[in-house]
Amino acid sequence: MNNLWFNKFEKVLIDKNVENSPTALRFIETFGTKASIVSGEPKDIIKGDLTSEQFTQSKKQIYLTEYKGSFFKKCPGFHKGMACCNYFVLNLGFQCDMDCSYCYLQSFLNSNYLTVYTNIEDALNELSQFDHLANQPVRVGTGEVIDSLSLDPVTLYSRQLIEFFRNFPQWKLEFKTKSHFVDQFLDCEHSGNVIVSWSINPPAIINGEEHGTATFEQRLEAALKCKQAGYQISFHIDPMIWHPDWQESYAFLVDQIIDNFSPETIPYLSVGALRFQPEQKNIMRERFGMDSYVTQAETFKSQDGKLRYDLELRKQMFNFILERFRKNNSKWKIFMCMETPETWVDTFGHTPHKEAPLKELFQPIRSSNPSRD
Amino acid sequence: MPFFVQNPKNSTFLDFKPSHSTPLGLATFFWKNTQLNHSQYAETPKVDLSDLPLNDVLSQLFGPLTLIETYNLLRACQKNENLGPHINWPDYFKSHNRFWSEKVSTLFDQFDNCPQEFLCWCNDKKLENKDLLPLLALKTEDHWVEFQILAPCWQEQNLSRSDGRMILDLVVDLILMGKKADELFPQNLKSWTGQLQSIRNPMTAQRDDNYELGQWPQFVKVKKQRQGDVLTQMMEITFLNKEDLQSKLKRLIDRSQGQ
Repeated sequence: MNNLWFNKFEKVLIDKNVENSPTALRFIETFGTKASIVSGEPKDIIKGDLTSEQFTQSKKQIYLTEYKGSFFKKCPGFHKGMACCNYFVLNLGFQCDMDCSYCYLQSFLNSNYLTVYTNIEDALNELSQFDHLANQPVRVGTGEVIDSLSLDPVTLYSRQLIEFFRNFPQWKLEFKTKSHFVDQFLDCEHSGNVIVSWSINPPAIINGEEHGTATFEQRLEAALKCKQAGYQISFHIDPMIWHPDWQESYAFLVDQIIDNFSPETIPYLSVGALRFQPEQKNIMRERFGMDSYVTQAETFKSQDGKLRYDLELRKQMFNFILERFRKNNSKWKIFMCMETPETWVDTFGHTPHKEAPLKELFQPIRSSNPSRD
Repeated sequence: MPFFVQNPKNSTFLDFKPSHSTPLGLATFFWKNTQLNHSQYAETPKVDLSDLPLNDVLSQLFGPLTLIETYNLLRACQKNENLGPHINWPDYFKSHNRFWSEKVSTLFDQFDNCPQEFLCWCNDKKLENKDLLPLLALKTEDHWVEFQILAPCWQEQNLSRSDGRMILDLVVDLILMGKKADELFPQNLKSWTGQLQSIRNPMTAQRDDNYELGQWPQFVKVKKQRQGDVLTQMMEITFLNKEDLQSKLKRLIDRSQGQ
């Protein structure tokens, strides 16, 4: 963490009910006078449809509170018409402090505060209730509505999660990030079931579209540190974004992964192409104008209602990535995130359930306890 | 309690008229010395409703309003110093199943820049907030100059609600991309959408144009048709009877397997 990171936050408000939680105490220590205690919700909290300015504001102010609902949810890709992969999400907060032009939170977020939940113990208790699935290939990710690691140097949630997952060696814990903050957990003892993954794009896209994120080099360097510490590594080449030199850019990206990692150290890679809900276009256009490859994109409504590139272009982009990896080594395990079965069939020749290296990821979970089925 | 009054002195006038007529037009209603409605008759009873909350009075008097009518009512009330401070807009919106927010307020500011013809079209088609959000991206005077030139086209072309929404999205994109209004005027009454899509999505348009349909027998007509993110082929078959259809389908299958 550096001054730039610290200075981007204007204030940290802490719900009085959680002021003595370890997380709150660490935020107070880190942010000093920027942190203050409030009774209940902040007075200036806005709930509902945000203006673009209010959304931008939500990246600069943090609110710490406890979460009273269910922490554990099925991946949003799991619905009719999409091919999905037994992925569960654990939300320990809401909103991301980085600012990608394509981020779906822009049409999803309903508060002008980045919220961090302090009651991680409750989340872990909830996860313990799934012990009947202990021998199933459950994958749990923490990076759906908040980056897994961008605030982790302060929350240190990674350490508690890694410790918890030592009791469930069949399960996989996945941190998904665009930051380079990994030092805080490198010394943790783990059971080899923790995947640290980076959503990654070529430098030109990171610089132009992924504002406030770690650079390409920083992400790669952080991944190498994790590899050194025995963690599994993954990369999500997602969302692929068309730009005039896209083939050169993505070739560079793939080659960097190939040069620094092997199929043995990366359990799987995912690729996905730009997609967003039609209503998201409005706020993206408002916030980034048309000086972005995302707002400029030629997108059309696909069968799930999202806007995507033309199917032929998507196939061309996916094939480019797949061929480059496979030319290097046929053992690279690559799957497509949130794509239609048709795209799978056109790209791989069959659905993911029949792709040998990916069978495990896509096999349906069967509970050993019928009462919980 | 409402009570009948004589012609109030120095009364002001609410400059608002909903597009539908209200049964209450049989009387003229006043609130704090402001005449709220137009009566269709010269001599009508005059009723003072100042003792009732203004929100309730407006709701009862005008009934449900479209978004554009609500905007017009809000602006008319804001201009009237007797009424402006006494209306609670979040509550008014809530009682009409709408949600007041800073975003709605910003959108209404954008409506201030829209030509009347465009707002009339939006009103006729009963457009809601989410349909008009593209307007929020128009931020500079240059953007508005181009938009104002094109804005009457929605009404002139008698666009349907869905075509109009799609065209608004395309026009805003293109203005933000630096296109001038004269490049975007409808050339062909039938397909303004297609015209704008070709300008907005040139790579895809070119790919679609270059797509070859292949050779097909005389009894079928084949044409390209973009359906969202896929380019499809639509085939029309002419046949005499079931046997003829089966025979032609077989020929088509054989042919497609050979292609």
